[in-house]
Amino acid sequence: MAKRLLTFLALGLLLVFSCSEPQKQKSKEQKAVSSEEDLTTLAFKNRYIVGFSQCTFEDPWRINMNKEMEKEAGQHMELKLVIANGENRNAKQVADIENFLVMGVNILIVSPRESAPLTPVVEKAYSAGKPVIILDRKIDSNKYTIFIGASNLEIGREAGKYLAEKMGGKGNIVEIEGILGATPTQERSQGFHEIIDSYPGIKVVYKQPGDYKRSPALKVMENALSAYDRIDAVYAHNDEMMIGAYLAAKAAKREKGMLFVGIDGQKEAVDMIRQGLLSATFVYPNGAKEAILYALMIAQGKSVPKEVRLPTTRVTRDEALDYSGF
Amino acid sequence: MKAAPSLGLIGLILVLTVVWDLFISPEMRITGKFFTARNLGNIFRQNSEYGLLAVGMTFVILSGGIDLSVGSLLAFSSVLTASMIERQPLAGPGYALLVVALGLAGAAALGLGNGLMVVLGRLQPFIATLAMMSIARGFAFLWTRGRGIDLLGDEPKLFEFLGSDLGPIPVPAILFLGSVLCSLLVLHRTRLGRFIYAIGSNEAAARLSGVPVGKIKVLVYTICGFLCGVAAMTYTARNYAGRPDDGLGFELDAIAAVVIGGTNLMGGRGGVGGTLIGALIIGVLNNVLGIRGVDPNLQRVLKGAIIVAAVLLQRERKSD
Repeated sequence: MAKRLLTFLALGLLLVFSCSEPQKQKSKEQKAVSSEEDLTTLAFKNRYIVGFSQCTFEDPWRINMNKEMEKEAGQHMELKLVIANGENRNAKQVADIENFLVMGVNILIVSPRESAPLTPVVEKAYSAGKPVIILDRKIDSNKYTIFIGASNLEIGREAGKYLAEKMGGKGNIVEIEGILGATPTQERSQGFHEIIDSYPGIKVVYKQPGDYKRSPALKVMENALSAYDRIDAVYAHNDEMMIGAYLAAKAAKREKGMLFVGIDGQKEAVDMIRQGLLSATFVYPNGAKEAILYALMIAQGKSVPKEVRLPTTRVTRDEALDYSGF
Repeated sequence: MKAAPSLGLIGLILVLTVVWDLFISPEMRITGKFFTARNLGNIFRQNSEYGLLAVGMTFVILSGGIDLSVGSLLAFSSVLTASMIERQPLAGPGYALLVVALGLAGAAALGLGNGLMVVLGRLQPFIATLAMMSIARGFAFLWTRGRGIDLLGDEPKLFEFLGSDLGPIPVPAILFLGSVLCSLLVLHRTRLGRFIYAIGSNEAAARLSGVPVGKIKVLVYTICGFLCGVAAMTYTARNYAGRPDDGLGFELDAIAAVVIGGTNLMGGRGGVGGTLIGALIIGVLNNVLGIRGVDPNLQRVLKGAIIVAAVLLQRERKSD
C-alpha cells in the first residue's frame, strides 16, 4: 500500500516537473516576443541591446566581470545589457547565444567556456551579420568582430622581471603552478621562465602544482620549506595560491624577507600587499569595461581593431593605490 | 598485526628514497631533510584531514557500508564554521567554542541524515551517501552564494590553535592520533565495537542474535559525519578560509587509506590501526615524491601502483 502511494507520489512529481518545463519555455518565448517588441520601440529611441553570454557565475573573477560590465553599461543610456549564465557547461552557453539571436540582440558579447564547442554558434551569429565581441578566451576561427583579452604570457614576463629585479639577480624561487595542462598555467610559467632563466644566479628550486587553490598550495609550500633552507621568493600562478604559500611560510616562521608574487588582483591578496605581508600581484584584467566601450563604437558605426590586448597592472604596497581588488 | 605488510611498504618507500638520492640524482641529495622533525610534522599536518575522514570511513566500511559524502561534509562544515566566525570576528573564546560545537554538530547532523536514509529509507549506502554528497555540496554553495569565505586576520586565537603547532607537534596530528586511539578503544573494548564487526560480517545473523542493527548503523554514519566535522575544523583553521569547492575527491583518498590499511570493503574485517598506516603510506608517498620534484603526473601513476601493491601484499599474508 505504502509502496503504491509512493509510486503515485513519484509519478505525480514527475508530471508536475514535466509540465513545468514547457511552461518555462513558453514564458521564455513570450519573453522573447515581448523583447522583440521592446526592440522595435527601443530602436526608435536609438537603444541597442547588448547580449552578454558569460560562461559561469561561480567564479569571483567572473562575478566581478559582470558587475563591472553592468556598471559601465549603466552609464550609457543608449545601451541595454542582458547577461546569461552559461552555468559552466558548453551546451548551456551555446543555447544562451542561440536565445540571444532569437531575441534579436543588436550586439553579442561572448566569454567562452571553451574554444572549440563555442566556435560554430559564434560563426553562425557573425555570418548572419551580428557584431560579436569575444572576451578573455578565443574561439577557433576569425569569424568575430573583435577579441579583447589579456596575455598570460606577458603577465608571466612582468612577474619575472619584477622578481629578477627585487632579488638582485640571485636566489632561490619556489614556483606554484595552477592546474597542469591548462593554457593559463602553461603561459604563466612560460613567460616567467623566459625572463628568469636568463639570470644564472636565480634558480627555480621547487615547482609543483597547487590547482589554483589555497589548500594544495599551502601543502606544496610546506614541503618546499622543509626541503630547502633558503627560499627567497615564491611565484604563484594566482593570488589564492600565493596566500596559501604565505600561510605555510608564516607557520614555519620564515615569511620575513621572503618575496611573494601572485596573479589576478584578488581583494584579500591586495589587502595583504597593502599591509606589507605580500610583495606584488599582477592584475589579470577582465575587459568588461572595454567590451562595453567597443560595443558603443560598433553601435555608432565606427571601425574597431580585430584584437585588443589588455595590459596588466602591477599592484604593490605603493603602486596602483586606487586598485582595491575583487 | 594484519597491517604489518603495509608497514613494510613504508620502509620500502624510504629505502627507495635513500637509494634514489645516493645513486640516481645525487645533486638533489636532500634525504637528510626528509628525516627532520619539521618534515615529519609536515606529513602529519598535511594528512590529518584525510586521516580523520579515513577513520570515520573505517567505521562505516567495517559495518558493511560506504560513505561517499565525506568530502562534501567537510566543505559544508567548513563554510558553516567560517561564516559564523566572519560574522563575529572580534568575539571572545566562548564564541569560538560555540562555533566549533555548531560546526561539528552540523557535520554530525548530515552524517545522521546518511544513517537515517540507509536504515529507515532502506537505501543502499552507495546511493544514500551519493545523494548526500550532492546535497551537502549544494548547501555549501547556496550558503556562500558560490564565493569562498576568507578569515585572514579574523580568525580567533582559540580557533587558530586548531591549525597550529603545539611545540613540535601539529595540533591536527594530535586530533588525528587521538581519534585513532579513541576508535581503537571503541572498536575493540566496547560492545558497540563488537556489534559493528558483527553487522559487517553477517547482518542477518547479527539481527537474529539481537544486535540493534538499525540503531548501530545510524550511529556509525553519525560518527563518520562528526569526524568529517573535526577534519573541517583543522582544515578551516589552517587555510584561514572556507570554500564550497573544497574537499572535492577527498572521499577517494579516505577510501584508499582504509583499503591500503587492510580493511575489507565488504565489511567485518580490518581495523582502524591499519587505516592509520594506510593514511601514513599515502602521506609519506606524497611527501617524498613532492620534495624530490617528481613529475606530478608520474606521482599519480605511482600512487595507484602503491594501492595495488599494498592490497596484494595483504592478500598473500591472508593465504598463509
